[in-house]
Amino acid sequence: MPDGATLHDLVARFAPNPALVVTELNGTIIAAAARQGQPVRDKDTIELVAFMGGG
Amino acid sequence: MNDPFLLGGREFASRFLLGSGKFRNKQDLHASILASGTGIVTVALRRIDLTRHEDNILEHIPPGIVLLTNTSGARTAEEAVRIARLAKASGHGTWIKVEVINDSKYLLPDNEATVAATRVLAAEGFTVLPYISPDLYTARLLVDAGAAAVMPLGSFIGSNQGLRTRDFIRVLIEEIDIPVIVDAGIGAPSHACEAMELGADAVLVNTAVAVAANPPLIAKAFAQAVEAGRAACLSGLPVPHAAGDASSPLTGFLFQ
Repeated sequence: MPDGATLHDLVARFAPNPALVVTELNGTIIAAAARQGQPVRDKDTIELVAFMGGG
Repeated sequence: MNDPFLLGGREFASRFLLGSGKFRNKQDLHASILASGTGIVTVALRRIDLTRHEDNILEHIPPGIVLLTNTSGARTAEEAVRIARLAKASGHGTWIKVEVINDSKYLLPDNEATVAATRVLAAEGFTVLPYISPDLYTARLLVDAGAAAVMPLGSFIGSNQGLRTRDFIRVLIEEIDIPVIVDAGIGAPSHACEAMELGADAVLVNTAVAVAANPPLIAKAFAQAVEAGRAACLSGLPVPHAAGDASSPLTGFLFQ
């Protein structure tokens, strides 16, 4: 990701439907509305999770 | 028959819950949900595969269906709680099927960790449906912890073996005052019917529907079996006898 990229940018790049993705940054859940103002940096631990089929 | 299923403060017309895993395609899943008439569908949470652009399963679940997110993949209570909180953050509901499994061979749930996770999540306002090995003491702890229901396994997950734990499930039905939803191992509509005849409040099926040659058709069959079993239970089933008991009068025979 380029310098200054946000979590919002990252989700937009990797998820076809960002509204259905949940994000965690360094162990903290980041609400969708807060992604735009959340910068991502080297060595951050980022989780992008989404619903899948399951029983 | 007016017999609504009350669960988590809501009323459902169907006592059949459907899992969304293992379907060959999303079209089969969508059609099976509609054919079954279910009001509750289970889903899982997983990391996005960055190498593939898959459409999200939520796009294939009709509106109005309650999503019951499972905590599959959790090996501890803490991991189950984390998954539940992620599900809540998605904005798609707070109904959680707590599932904590350490055992990769039999996939048996860890009842102790399940109680611990249920305690935390119920206190946070989640509607918690814990998946357990059928055990009365565990079920009582779950009631105290605030579970909305208990989900005892019928047999090993995905095994299609039916109600191998029948006697233990019957104990829960008799002793526990929250809904009992039989989950796991239900491999045929007759198994679902048997669970409902026994007095279960509902049944959850996934594998047997998803891997069938015609998933929507068997989903409908399961829903009908659940209805039949429920009606039979409410009707007051007769007690089996060890010997014959004539159905026709034993007097006035033509040859006497």
